[in-house]
Formats: sequence, structure tokens, C-alpha cells
Amino acid sequence: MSGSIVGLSPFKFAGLCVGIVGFLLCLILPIPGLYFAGKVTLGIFVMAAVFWMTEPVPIFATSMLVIFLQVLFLSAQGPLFQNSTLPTYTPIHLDGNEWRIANEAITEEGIIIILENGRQMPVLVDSYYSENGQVVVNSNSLNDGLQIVADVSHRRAAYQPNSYTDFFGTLANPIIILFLGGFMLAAAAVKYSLDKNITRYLLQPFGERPLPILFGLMLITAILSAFMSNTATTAMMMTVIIPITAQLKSEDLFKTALALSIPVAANIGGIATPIGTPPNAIALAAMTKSGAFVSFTDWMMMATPLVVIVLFISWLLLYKLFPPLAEKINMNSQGGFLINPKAITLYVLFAITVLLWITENLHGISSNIVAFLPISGFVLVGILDKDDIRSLPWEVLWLVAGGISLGISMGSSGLAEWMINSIPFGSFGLITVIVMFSITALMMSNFLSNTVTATLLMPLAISLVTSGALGTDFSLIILGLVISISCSLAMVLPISTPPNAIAMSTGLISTPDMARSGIIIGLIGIMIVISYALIYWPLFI
Amino acid sequence: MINRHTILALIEEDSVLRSMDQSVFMANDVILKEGDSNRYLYLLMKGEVELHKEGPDNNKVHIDQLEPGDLVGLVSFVSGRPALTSAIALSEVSLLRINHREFEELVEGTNSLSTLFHQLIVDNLLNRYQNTIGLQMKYENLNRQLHQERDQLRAALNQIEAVQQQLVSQEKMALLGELSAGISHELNNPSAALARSVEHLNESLSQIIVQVKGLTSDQLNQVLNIGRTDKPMGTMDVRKKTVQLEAKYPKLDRTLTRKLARCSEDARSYFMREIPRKLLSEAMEVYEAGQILSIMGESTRRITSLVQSLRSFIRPTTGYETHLDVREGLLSTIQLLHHKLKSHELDLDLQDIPAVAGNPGELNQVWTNILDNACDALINQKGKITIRTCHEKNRVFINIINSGPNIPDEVKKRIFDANYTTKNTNGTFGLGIGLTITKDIISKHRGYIQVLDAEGGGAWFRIILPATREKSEN
Amino acid sequence: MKNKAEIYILIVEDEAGVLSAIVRDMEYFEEQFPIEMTESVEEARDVVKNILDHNGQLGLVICDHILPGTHGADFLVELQNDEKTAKAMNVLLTGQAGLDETIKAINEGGLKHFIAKPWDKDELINISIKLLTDYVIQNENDLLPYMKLLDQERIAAELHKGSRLSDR
Repeated sequence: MSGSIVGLSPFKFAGLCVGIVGFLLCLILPIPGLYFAGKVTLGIFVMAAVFWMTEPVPIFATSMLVIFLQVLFLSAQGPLFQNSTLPTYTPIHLDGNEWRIANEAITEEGIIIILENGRQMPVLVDSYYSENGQVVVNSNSLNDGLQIVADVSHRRAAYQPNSYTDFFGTLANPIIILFLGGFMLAAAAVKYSLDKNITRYLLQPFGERPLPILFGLMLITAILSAFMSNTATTAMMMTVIIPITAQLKSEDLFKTALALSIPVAANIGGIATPIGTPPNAIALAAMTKSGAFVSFTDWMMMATPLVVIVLFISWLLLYKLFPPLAEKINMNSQGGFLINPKAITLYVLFAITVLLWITENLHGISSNIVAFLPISGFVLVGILDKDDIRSLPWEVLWLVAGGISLGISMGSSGLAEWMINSIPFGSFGLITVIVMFSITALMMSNFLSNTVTATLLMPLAISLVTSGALGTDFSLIILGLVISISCSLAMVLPISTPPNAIAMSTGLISTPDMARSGIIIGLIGIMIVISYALIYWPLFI
Repeated sequence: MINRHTILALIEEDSVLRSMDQSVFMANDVILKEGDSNRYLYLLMKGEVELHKEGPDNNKVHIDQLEPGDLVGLVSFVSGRPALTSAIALSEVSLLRINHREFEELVEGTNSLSTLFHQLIVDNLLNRYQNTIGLQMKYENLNRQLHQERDQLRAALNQIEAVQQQLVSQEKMALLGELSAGISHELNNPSAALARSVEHLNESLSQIIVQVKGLTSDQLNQVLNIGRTDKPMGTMDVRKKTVQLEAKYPKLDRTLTRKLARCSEDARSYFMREIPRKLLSEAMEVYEAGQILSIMGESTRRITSLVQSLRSFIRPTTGYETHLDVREGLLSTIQLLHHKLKSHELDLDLQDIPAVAGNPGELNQVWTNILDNACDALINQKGKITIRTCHEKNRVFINIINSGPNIPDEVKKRIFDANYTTKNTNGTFGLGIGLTITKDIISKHRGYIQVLDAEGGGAWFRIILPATREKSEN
Repeated sequence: MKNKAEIYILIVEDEAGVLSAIVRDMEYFEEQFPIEMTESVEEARDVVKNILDHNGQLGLVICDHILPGTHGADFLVELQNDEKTAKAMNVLLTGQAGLDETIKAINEGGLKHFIAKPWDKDELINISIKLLTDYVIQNENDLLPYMKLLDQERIAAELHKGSRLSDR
């Protein structure tokens, strides 16, 4: 098996090959409607998408590759654009609106690129060949002295290269810093067992009967995963439920309910805040870049009611699907909060940070800035040390940064617009578009990483909204929320999310059990998302 | 009571007596010799005389010491019998020698001298009587003392015997102790296999009852039988087979592949030929149940035979049999020492030999000692131990040879001495009298043991025992 | 042998009946950990070499003490002193709990566990679960495949603490 040469499964090896070939084909083949930069971006997009789907390399590595390729092939300082100047041409006025232009200055689709104050404006014109084989265009956009791009196949055609700092800078994007703040909170909480102690404490009022306990577990999981990573929350909650499942009889279906409740609640809980899960960051970054600002408070006000409803429905569903035999469950609520100066400082800083985040609208201090409170505070006080910083999930930040970076080029190279134009969105209507995006996001992220799904879909959403095809009163915020929330609602398969993978690994759940509940929750969730997108969220715009 | 000195003084003065013979003897002169007849009665006037008697081995036994006034040779003189004792002068003595005639005159006379003489005789006799009583008393005392001492000696002897017996049995227990570690291991393996098998069979049976639906009762029977009688392959072959099976049937799961690989070739080809692929795991379960049964049988057999070996080893030392096959004891011992012997190559050449008479338990002790020694000689190396029996006329030879180091000659001389050991202290339980006891036991069986150098190096213990004489035959 | 970086369980026992019994008890792990059976130390050495040559790892060695030729404890010490197999967990299985050997194995061999024959299935499985959990936590990055068979609570706690998994 050839894949074994590089230690990859045949599937991954195929992915590696397809990705590379796809990249090269995009560069070589003529693609109608795409200029050079668009083709390069499409190549990177195709390769990244294939790599993200087949994972011959870890997904964060693909993100790093994306940034590297962008800097190499698409940045103004890269070898391709460093010393290249745009060839220009002054059309020769023939008669009336007819101008003679160089043969290379017009695309096969009949588009010429007019330079206007240094900006390139592609314009569709009528054209024909004169007897001597020269191109004559008929356009009222041209006038004397106006220059057009002399060679539409030139690498700079219809592309103003980004500075490489735009790509590198994504790693210091304010959203990334916000996430870093969340990571620091989570790392400190784990280190000082704050999350587990909170869980024990909060579980106490839910008594000993299975139904309330299940609700309690789900509620606490959701709350924690809104501020911590869904995965870490799931792992922690698993240590809580495994002793419980051990008490149950082997034929008690409630085991499955317990084991499923955690990833379900963690996935849903991630929706509640901007830092809940990485797709939220992709959406937020895209919105912010397009000038649609959403505060921490706004996000929570829009997302939390949805979380509560979906959580409640999931609770009832799991209870119905896997009813308990046991009437009483012993909860071990031993243990108490750590009491020492560092731990107390942590509790205070944690509380202040979360409070400032959710009240962003009241005081107006950006949540991104507040995020630096735990970042600097924890290391200054020594709550987290060098090793703790090293063990933060940096790869998630790279993953998100890669996604944001790819979005930049998809916009600036015209690729996103080209993709949008390939599909007649304009004729679909608002509801169809929302349904399409949410279903697509849900389906894709069941198989792919949620972040990757958001990364692949968000640039399209931006282009779609900015193209005005959906009408001017439609906000990017709504589509961003639809995409990111739909991504989080994907929990059909063990591979859908790491929390699902953890729960499945316990062996307490069968794949059909997970699929059954995942499909129902996903579909109900999508319906709620669509109705929110149409009714509730517009109230905030 | 008259004073002797008064009598002597009177005699000095008496003219009649003074006329009688006065004999003078110098020191060490013999006055009277034991066994001689005596014609005179002597009255000791001056000096000292010793009486003694010839005892066995020419020892002179001192009887009495006489002083002036005592009579010498009274009994022999009066009775006419040979003298009972010899009288020897200790210093210069003078004696009054009285012959029969003079004596009669003295005795029969009525004068004062006669009276005095009578008194003297009576006094002498009284004296002797007193002495006799004292002697008797002394004799009684001595006798009692002698008895006491004899009893003490006997007790001491008994004690020594008991200690020796104890030592022998201690050595045996020590050997047994050394063996017991191995025996427990030997017992543990089959008993562990047995214990686990019972549990596995439990699980297996309930699984068979619940799961096995597709197989016909014929097939069930057949598979169970195959399982019961199948001899599974060695692990190396299992590995090779597993690779082949994985290549040939990549869809089979790992456990099933491994189990199939473990079956014998015949069993496997039966499964592949007769059992539909989807019933393979059911059939395997049944086959396994059969295998478990066979393991249980084998384990039980091993435990039984081990217990038998052990029983013959600890048989009381009083048991004596006239027709013993030495080889049985050797085989039992080998089984008990299996844990030690299995590290080495064992070459058994047990030819037919005549029976010997003896104590099987004791002889087992001998074999154990020598084999144990052989293992110790081969410690930290893989060696070879040869056990060969043969016979010649009425003698049975048991040769136990190890490929360890040669035994130096000076060690050979002392190897059967008590408390001689070359083993270091760690790990051995023996008292260092193992080989001594071995030699004793063999001597008791009228045999002997030799230590020789084996051909090509190593120690060779040769035990020779007399064969039982066949009286009743012919 | 498959060309997979699997974690192997090696069993060394010279008595076929006992070997069968151990393997049957250890079948529980076979879904995730391939089991290799060997009857002598020499054979075990070959198998270990073969496993390593094929990119496999030696996770757990269950070894009888009284074996022909070499003692089990000596073999475990040998594995412990070889850097390629030093990480492997081990269980010495014997009916003869000789103190000297135990001490030697603990001091020199980093002996993890000592089980007396006849053993109890639950004891054997629980100890193996503990040791294999130790092994995967110490040596594996992706713990999820091992969660089902091993100590779930400990692995979940490790996932939580060790930030080995993150959202994606």
C-alpha cells in the first residue's frame, strides 16, 4: 500500500494526493470568471478543504499551511507580488463607444478591468474582433485617458495583494485574544479543580432522582462549556458520571442517557457565548471584519435563549429515549473548594472576568480587552506558570487563525464572490438561504471539524450579504449566527465533535443511540435556529 | 574389753610365748602367699602388714592393713585351706610364729595366757566381722552408685539416639521444605488451570446454551469431541499460523483468528470445511469447552500423581518392603523436583533392574538429596543430568551424573562427613548432613555410595544396592 | 504480524493449560491489545524483537516465574533494563512467592505487580486494567481508543487535566 510509505491510511493518502493535485489543477486550468489570485485562492481553498476533510495532517497544521501559502502566493511581499507591477494599457478610442484594446486585456467572458483611482474595476463589455484580429469593445464605462489592465491573466489582475501582516496578524486577532482569555480561565479552573467543585456544588440541589439529576448534569455542563472548551468540560463531567453509571444495573438504559447527556449539553452549551466554541470565533471575526459588531452581551442575549430551549428539549428527549430503571442515584458530593490565596485570587478574577464579559453592553469595555485580565492576571499572580501556558490548546488558536486568514483572501481575491455568483442565491429568497446555510453547516460539521465548516462557509456568507443579493436590510450577523450555531448542533456521529468522541469511547453508548438522538436534536435545533433567524434575531439588528 | 597393747605387753613378758619362734620380715617381704597352704598362725608384734588379693588382670586388690596385735593367716591356719590373701610386710615387722601344737596348747590351756589368747582371737574375729559389715555396706553403696550411673548412661544414650533420629527427620523435613516451594508451584499450576477452567467452563456453557443455535447436534458432538481430544499447537506455530490466517481470512476477528491458529491442523481444516463461516465463533466456543475439559482432566491427573509422589516421599521410615522397584522412587523424586530439574536437560536411562529390599521413603530421601545436589551444582547454567540404572549379578547400580564442575579429591573424601557442606548459606534449607544421611541410609540397606568424576567433567554419584534374594522362586 | 503501532500484551507461561487459562482471562483486552503467547523466555525475546521491529509497542508482560532456563523475574528485569522495553508494565505470576525473588524483582526490575497462582480473574483483569491505563497515559497521545476497556474515570480525568484533546 503506497500510503504506508508515509505512514498514512489509504484514505488519508488519497486525501493528500487529491489536495495537492487539486491545488495544482486550480493554478493550471483556466477557470471561467476567476483571475489569477482567485485561482490561487481557490487552489488553497480546495487543498485546505480536502486536507481538513481527510486529515492527512492535523487540521491545525492545514491552517498553518494555509497561512504559509497565502503569505507565499498571495501577499504583496511574497515572491509572486514583490516585484510585479500591474501592466496597464490605454484603450484607443475608435468611434462612439467603441474602443480598441489589446487582445490580452479582455477575458473570455468579455470582461475588462478598468483602473479607477488605483482600484481595479472589472466591467462586462460588448466586444468583437475586427478584421485584423484586434479586439474592439463597446462600452460607455471607458473614456479618454482611462487605463485598463493590459493583461487579464496577469497575477495582479483584479487583485490588490494583501500585506503579509494581514495573514500573520490573524493570530493576534482580537477574537483570538478573547479565546486565549477563555483558555486561561479554563486552564486555571482545571488546575484548581474549580470546574469540578462547581459541578459538585451545583449538583447538590438536584437531589437523588434520575430525572432532575440528568437535568442538573446537562445544565451544569452547558454552563461550564459556555466558558470552557466543550471537550474539557466533557472530560471533566465524564469523571462525574462514570461512577454514577457504575451504580446502575447493566440493563439500565439510563446509562446511555447519562453518557449522551454530557456531549449533547457540552455541544449546545458552547453556543451560548462568543468564547464557547471556535466556530463562534470564526463567525465573530468575519462579522467584525465586515463591520458588523456583536458584543459579548449581544451574543449571549441572542444565543442563550436558544441554548436553554434546545437543552430542555434534549433533556426530555434523552429521558424518553433511555428511561431509567433506577429510582435513586447516589451522588458523591465529597470535596470542597480549595482555600488558599492563589485559589481565592483565581475565584475573584474568574468572577470579575465573566461578569465584565456578560455585562459588556453596560460598561462598554470590549470583551476582547477584558480577556487580557485573566491572561495577564493569572501569570502575574502565579496562578498559572510557564508549563501551564505551554499546555494551552494553542493549536485551536492556529486553527481559528487559519480560518480567519483564508477568509481574508477569499474576499480580496474575489473567490467568495465568484462562488456566490455560481449559485443563483438571489432567486432563492431569505428563508431558503437560511435553511440552506444551516442545513449545509449541520451536515458538513457532522463529518468535519465545526471550525473548518464555519471557515469554509463564513466567507460565502459575507460575500452573499455584501453582494446585496438578499436585500440590504439582511444582516451578516444573522447568517453568521445561523452558521456557527448550526455547526455546534452537529452531534450525530462520534467524529462530529470531540465531546461525542469521548462519550463514545466509554463504550456506554452505541453509534445508533448517538445517531438517533443526534439527528433529532440537530433537526429540532435547526428549526429553532431558523425561526430565531427569522423572528427573534432581527430584533437586535 | 581388753586392750591389745596390754595383751602384747603380757605376751612380751610371758616366758612361754617368748620361747616361741620370733620371725622378722623386712619391708615388702611376703609373709603369706595367696593360695599357699599355711602351717602357722602369726601374731604381729611390731610393724605393719598389708593384706591383698590378686584380682583379675593381675591387679592387686588391697584388702586390709594389720597392726601389732592382729593375727595373720588365722583362717587358713585354722581351716587348713589355702590362704585367701597374701600378707606383705610394709615395714620391718616382727611376728610371733605359732604352730599347731603351740596353738592347741594355748587354746586348751587354762592359764591366764590362754584366756588372753582367747580374747585376742575373739577380738580379731570381731574386728574382721566388723570389717565385713563395713565392706558389705560399702559394696552396697557402690552397687547403688553403679546402678545410678548405668541408668544415667542409658538415658544419655537414649537421648543421643533421639537426637540423631530427630536430625535425620529434620534433614528430611528440610529437604521437604526445599521441595515444598517447588511442589507448591507444581501443584499450583494444575490447580490454577483447574480453578480457572471450572470458571471458564461455567461461562462457556452458559454461552453455548444461549448462543449456539446454528449448529446441528451432530456437529455439536463432533466439535466437542474434537475439542476434547485436540492437541493444540505450540505458541511458535500459532504465531506463524496466525499470520497465514490473517492473510487468508482478513475478515475474521482477532480472537477468533488466534483461537483457530491454536487448533491442530486437522481440527482447523474440519472447521474451515464443515462449519459455515458465520457459525465459526459458535463452533469455536464449543471446541473451547472441549479443550477446557481436556485441560481439567490433565490437571487432575497431574495433581493426583504429584500427591502420590509426595505421599511416597513422606512415608514413615518404618515401612520396609522386600520388593522395591528403585525406578518408581526415582520417577517420583523427579516429579517432585520438576521445578528445579526442568531448567536442565534430563537424560533418563532406566533399564530393568531386580527389586531391592528397603524403605522406599528413605531411599526417596537419597534420590532427592543427590538430585537436589546435582541441581545446585548446575545453578546459573543449563546443564545435563543423567540418571541411569543397571544391574550386575545381585547388585543394582543407580548412577546419577551431572555435567557441573568436578568435585575436587579433598572434597570427595569429606563429602559424606557430617556438617560438611559446600553450599553457601543462601537459599538452601539443608543442615549439611544430607549426604551423611544419604550414606547412612545406604549403609542401612547394605549398599554403598561412591563419588566419581564423570566422563567429560561433572560429578558422578554411584549407588550400589544388593538385589532382593529370590528364595521362593524356582 | 500487522504493521501497526499497536500495544501488545505478552504472556510467558510454559504450561499449556495455564497459558490457555491466562489467555482466556485476558481475552477481554484483545479487542484493543493484541495478545502474544509464548512458552519460554527465548521465545518471548524473539516475539518482543518482532513486535518492536514491526513498530509495535510492548505494553504489558505477564510472566510466570518458574520457567525452563531463565526465571521470569530475571526476564522482567532484562526488559526493564532495555530502553526499548523499559516502559512496558509487568506482572509476575507465580505459585512460589519466594521473598528473595520478589525483592530482587522490585528493586532491580521495577516489578509492578505480583500475582499468586491460582489467581482470581477479576484480580488479574483489574491489575491489567490499572497497568495498561498507566501505560497509555504515560505513552499515548490519543487516549480515546483505550477508554472503553481501561479505567474510564482515570482516562477522562487525564483528558481533562492533560489538555490532550481540544475543541475543533
